[in-house]
Amino acid sequence: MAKRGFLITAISVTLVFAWYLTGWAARDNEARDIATKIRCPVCANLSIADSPSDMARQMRVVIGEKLAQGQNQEQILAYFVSRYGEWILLEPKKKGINLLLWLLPFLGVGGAGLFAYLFLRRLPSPPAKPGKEPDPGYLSRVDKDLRNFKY
Amino acid sequence: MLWKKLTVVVGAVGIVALLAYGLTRNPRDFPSPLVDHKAPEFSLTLFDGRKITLEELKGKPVVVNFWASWCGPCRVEAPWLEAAWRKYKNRGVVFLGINIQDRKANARAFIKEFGITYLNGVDPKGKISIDYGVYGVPETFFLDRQGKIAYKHLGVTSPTLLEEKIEEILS
Repeated sequence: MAKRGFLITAISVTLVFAWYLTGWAARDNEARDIATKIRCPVCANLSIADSPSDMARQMRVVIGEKLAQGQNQEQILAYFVSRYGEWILLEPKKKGINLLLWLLPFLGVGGAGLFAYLFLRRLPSPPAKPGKEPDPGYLSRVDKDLRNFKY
Repeated sequence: MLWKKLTVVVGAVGIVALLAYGLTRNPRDFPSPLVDHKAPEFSLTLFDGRKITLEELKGKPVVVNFWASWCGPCRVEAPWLEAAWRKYKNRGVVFLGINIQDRKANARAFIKEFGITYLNGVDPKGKISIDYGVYGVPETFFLDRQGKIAYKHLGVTSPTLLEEKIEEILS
């Protein structure tokens, strides 16, 4: 009986521990995901997930705390934007004037392709040069050499 | 044909001018979303062990300066801040130094070296600085009597700027 009780306790403890670990891992993944979207204020174009700076570390701690408080990714990103402005997001939001940032590279490449196509099409093709008639004496010499040629 | 050439030249000059203008700008120097908004509340542990909250300073104009002992520009402006504090303390202005990303001993030595007498505390986990959207040191915030951030200054201040902004939050 005692053995059974022990088994049940052991299984329960394991399950609770596993549940806790899964939650912790999920939160850790989420924290990392959020950190990759936030620009490190003291570095050059690094996310706070990749920066070893003190400030980035402190910001990662803030993300962890906010997740533990039950906030979601959107709320946490909104918090950083409310403090630092949209600059803090490594990827500008895809709306309003920002859409231009996302579309311009494609428009640029497309435009350049179109320009190259139109430009190449309008280039005059080089006229075929009339070939010189080969010297008849030379031709008969070649014929003769070919006939006598042995491998 | 002339029009075509002109369009290309004007376009190229335009793009180069835009890029040149971009180079003259500080990529971090754009308006803080906090300006004209209520300053985030905080509780600061002072170097003498006391605690102070922003709430307690309600109704007073406050100058909040984020600094670190290793920061060159902070050394430059430290005497100016102290002078401005001495000049304006009788008019009810509160100065608050917040030391970030630093070692306590170095910070204390800095305060002693420059004879700083206004309130100074540490933000060891960077919570306050992140809440204020601080990029680096020094950064100075000018809070009006209503607790609103009237102006944020990135980098080293100057005696003139300090006076000008303090007069603004006093009025």
